[in-house]
Amino acid sequence: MTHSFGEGLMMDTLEESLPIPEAAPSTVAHGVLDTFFTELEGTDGFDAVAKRLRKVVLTDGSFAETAIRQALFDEDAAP
Amino acid sequence: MIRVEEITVHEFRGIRELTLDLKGSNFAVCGPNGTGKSGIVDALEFALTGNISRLSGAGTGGLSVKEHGPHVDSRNKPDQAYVTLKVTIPSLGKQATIHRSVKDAKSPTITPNDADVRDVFDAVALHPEFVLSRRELIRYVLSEPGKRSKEVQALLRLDEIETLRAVLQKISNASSKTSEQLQMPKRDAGIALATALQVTDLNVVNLLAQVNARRAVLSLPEITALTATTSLKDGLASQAGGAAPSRVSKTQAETDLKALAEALGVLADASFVTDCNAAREACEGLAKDPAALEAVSREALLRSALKLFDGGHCPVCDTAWSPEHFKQHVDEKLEHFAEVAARRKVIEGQFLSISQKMDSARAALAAAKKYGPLLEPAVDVTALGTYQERLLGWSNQLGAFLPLSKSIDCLSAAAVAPDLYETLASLTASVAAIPEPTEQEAARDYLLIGQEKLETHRAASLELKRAQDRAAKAAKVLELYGTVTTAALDAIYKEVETAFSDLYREVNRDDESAFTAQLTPSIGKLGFDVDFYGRGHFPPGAYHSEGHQDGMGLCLYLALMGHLQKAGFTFAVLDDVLMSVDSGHRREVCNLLRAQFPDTQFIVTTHDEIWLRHMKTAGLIQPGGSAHFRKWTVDLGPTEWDDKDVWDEIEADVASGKVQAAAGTLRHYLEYFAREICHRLRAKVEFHGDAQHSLGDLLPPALAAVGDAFKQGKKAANSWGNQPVVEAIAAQEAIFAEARKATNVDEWQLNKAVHYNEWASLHKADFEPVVAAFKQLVSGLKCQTCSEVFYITPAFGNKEAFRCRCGIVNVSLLSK
Repeated sequence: MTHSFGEGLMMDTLEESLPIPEAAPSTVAHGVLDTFFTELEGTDGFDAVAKRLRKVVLTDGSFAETAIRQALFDEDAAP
Repeated sequence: MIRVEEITVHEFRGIRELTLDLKGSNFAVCGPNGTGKSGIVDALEFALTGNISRLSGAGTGGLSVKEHGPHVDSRNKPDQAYVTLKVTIPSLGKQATIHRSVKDAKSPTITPNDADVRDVFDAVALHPEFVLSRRELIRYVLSEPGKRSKEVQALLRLDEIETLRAVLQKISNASSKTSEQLQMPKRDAGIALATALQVTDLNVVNLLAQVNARRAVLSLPEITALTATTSLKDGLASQAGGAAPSRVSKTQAETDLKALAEALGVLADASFVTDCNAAREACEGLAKDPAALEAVSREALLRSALKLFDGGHCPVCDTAWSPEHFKQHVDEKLEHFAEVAARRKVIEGQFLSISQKMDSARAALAAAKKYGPLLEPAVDVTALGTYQERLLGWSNQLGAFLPLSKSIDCLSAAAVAPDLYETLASLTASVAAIPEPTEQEAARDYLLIGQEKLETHRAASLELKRAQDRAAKAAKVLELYGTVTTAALDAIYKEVETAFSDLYREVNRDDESAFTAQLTPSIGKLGFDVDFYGRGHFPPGAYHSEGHQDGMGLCLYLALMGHLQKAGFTFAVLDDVLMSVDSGHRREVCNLLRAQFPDTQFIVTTHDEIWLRHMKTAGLIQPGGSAHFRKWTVDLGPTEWDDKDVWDEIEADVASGKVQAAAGTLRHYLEYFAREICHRLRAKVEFHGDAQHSLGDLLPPALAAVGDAFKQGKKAANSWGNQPVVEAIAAQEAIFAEARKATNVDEWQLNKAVHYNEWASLHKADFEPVVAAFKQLVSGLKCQTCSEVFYITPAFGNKEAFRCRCGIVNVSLLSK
C-alpha cells in the first residue's frame, strides 16, 4: 500500500530535540566535604587549617596521610 | 552524561556482528533466554568501562575479559573483539565515538579526542552503576545493612568521606599517643632539674633564690624573672664557652648521690613495703575470684579496643563502626563491669603511687651512675644500671596492670630493698676524695649544670606542648568532621528516602498510596525499612512480595542515581529487572520512567514480550526503539525478527529440503508478526488467561482487523465525498483480499490439509507456495517507504486513522 491518501497528515517525527541538561555537579562527597571545610573555616583558630585542608583534598585530590597531616599542622609531617 | 546513538558489536561475547540504532532514545532489547540480550549489556558496559562485571566479582574465579570477552571463535583474536559506541554528550553539545577492543581494553580510541570529551568518558568509566541488573537490585533491597551501606556508599561515591575520616582518626590517635609518651621525658627532666638545682620542686621563687645565691658568689647580677629564654649562666665566662665542665663536679655529684640515697631509702622504707604488700593483696584477692579475673580481662580488652580503634573498624573483629557508635557500644559493655572496674581503679591508684617512687629512684640512678667511669679510679656501676632496668620493667608492668600474676610478682620483688649500698658507698667515697671546689667553682658548676638541665627541661616541655597542641587540634578537627558529615549524610539519606518513597508510591498507587520508607544510617550500616500497609516499618523482605521487592529495588536505584547525578542522569541500562513484577505494575513503571525521567535514556532488556508491549503502549519506547531477538546460534550470534533475515532463512531451508525447519520458523515468525498486527490494529483476539496465543488465535483476527480498517476507511472517505480515496482504498483492499486468500488462513478451521500444523509434513514443492503467499501477505501489510507495519491511532478510544510511520499512508477512519 504505497498510495498517499490525501495530502498526507502530519508525519510523525521521531526527531526529538534533546534537552540539554545542566553540567554534572560536583560529587555528593565533595559537597559534604565542602560543607565541612566551610564549617571549619568558621571555627575560631581553624581558618588557616581549613584552607590548607580544602586545597589538599578538593583541589589536589589527595587523601594521603602525609599530605593531610601537613595541612593540619602546617609543619613537618612527622608526628 | 551521555546518550547512546548507535552501538556496533563485533566478535564480542556471543555476538558476531551487530549494529543497533538507538538514536539517543529509550531502547528495548527483547528475546527469550539465551538469545543474546545480555551480550548487548556486556557490550555497553565494556565500551564505557573496559570491564564486564559478569566476568568479575564473587563467584567468577577463572573468568576474565581478556579470555572470555571475545566471541568463542575469536578467543585468540582479541583485537577483533570490539565495541564501538556513537554518543551524544548533552552537557557539551557534542557527538563522540568510543571504540574499545578487548586487546586494548584499557585504552579506548575516543573521537574527537578533546579533553572535555575524555573527561566525560572517564567519569562514566569510573562508575559502572549505570547498569542495574537483578543482582544489584537484590543487594540494595535484601542485603544485610552493613553490606547495603557499602553498596549505597559506593554508588553515591561517599567512600571519600570515609577515607578522610579514617585518615583524620589515625592522625588524631597518633598525636594523642605521642603526647602521652612525651609526659615521662618531661617529668624525668623536671626531676633532674630539681635535683641539680637542689630544690624540692620547680617553684620559680625558690628556684631563683637558689640560683641567685650562686650568682651572687660569682658577682653576677640577679635574675629577677625566669622567662623561656633566661639563662642561669648569663654573664658567666667560661674556658669552655659556657659548656658544662668535663671534670666531675663534686657538688653536683654529692647532690645526685644524696638524691639517690634518699630515693633508695624510700624504696627500703617500711611504708613502701606496706604499700607494695597492700597492693599485692588486693591483686591476689582479685586473682582468686575467677569471675572477677575474667571480668578484669574483658574490661581490659574493651579499654584496649577503645584505645586501638582506628575510627573505622573494630581492632578485634574488623567490623565497620562509626566512632560515636563504637564508643557507645563499648561503653555499654563496660557498664557491666562497673564493680570490677571500681576495684581495678583502686588498685591502679596504689600502683601509681608505687610507680612514681620507682620512677624517682630510676631517674636518680640514671643521674648517679654516669659518675662511675668519670671518677679516679673508676667505680663499677653495673649494679645501678641493672636495678634501674628492673625498676623500669616493674613500672611498665604496673602501668599495664595485666596480667595480674606479673604485677603481683613485681610488687613482691619491689618490696625487697635492693642491695646497692656497696656501689653507693664506693661512689660516695670517690666523690668525697675529690678536692673540695672553691666556692666559686661550686657556684659555677651549679649554674652550668643547672642551665644544662634547664635547657633539657625546656626542650622536653616545648616538645610536649607542641604534641599536646597537635593532639588537641587533630581531635577538634575530627570531632567537627564527625558532626558535620553525620548531619550531611543524614540529610542525603533523608532526600533519597523521600525520593524513593515518592517513586514507589507512584508505581503502587493502587494499593500502597500511603507508603513510606526509612533509610537509617547507623553503626556503619544502612537500615532500610518500609511501611507494610500501615502496620509498621519492616525490612522489605519481611512481608512484601518478590514483585514488590523488585519494584523497591528499581525505585531505590532511581532515587540514588537521581540524587547522585541529578541532571547528569542521562543514561541507564536496566537488565531484565522487574522479573517478578506483575503486568499492571510494570505498566506503571513504564509511566514512571517516562514521566519522571524524561531526559534519561533507558536501555531495557527483557525476555517478556508483554512488557515490551507495555513499553510501546506507554510511549516509553518509540517505534523503531527496540530489537527483538528470536534466536541465537554460536555461528551467527543473535538473530532479530527482521524480515529479510527471516525470509532468507526460510527460503534457504526450503531450498535445501528442510521443510520442517522452514515450517517452524515460518510459524514462529508469523506468530510474532501477527501479535504486532493485532497490537497495532487493535484486533479482537480471544482472551486466554495464560496469555498464550497460537498462530490460529492471532492471524485470523489480525487479518480481520486489516479488513475492518479498509471498510471503515472507505466508509469515512465516502461520507466526506472523497471518491478518489474510496477507489484507492478499494484497490488496496482487493490486493489484500487476494493475498489473504492465497494463504488459506480463512480455511484453517475448515480444511485440515491447509492448516499450519500440516506445514512440516508437506513436500518442498507444496510448501514453497505457502511461503510465497505469506511473504506476499506480510509485505502488503507494511509501508514500502518506511518498512513499518501499519497501525491505527490512537492506541485507545475511537479509531481515527490507519497509517504508517512516515505518513505516506494516512487514511482517516472518522466519518463525517
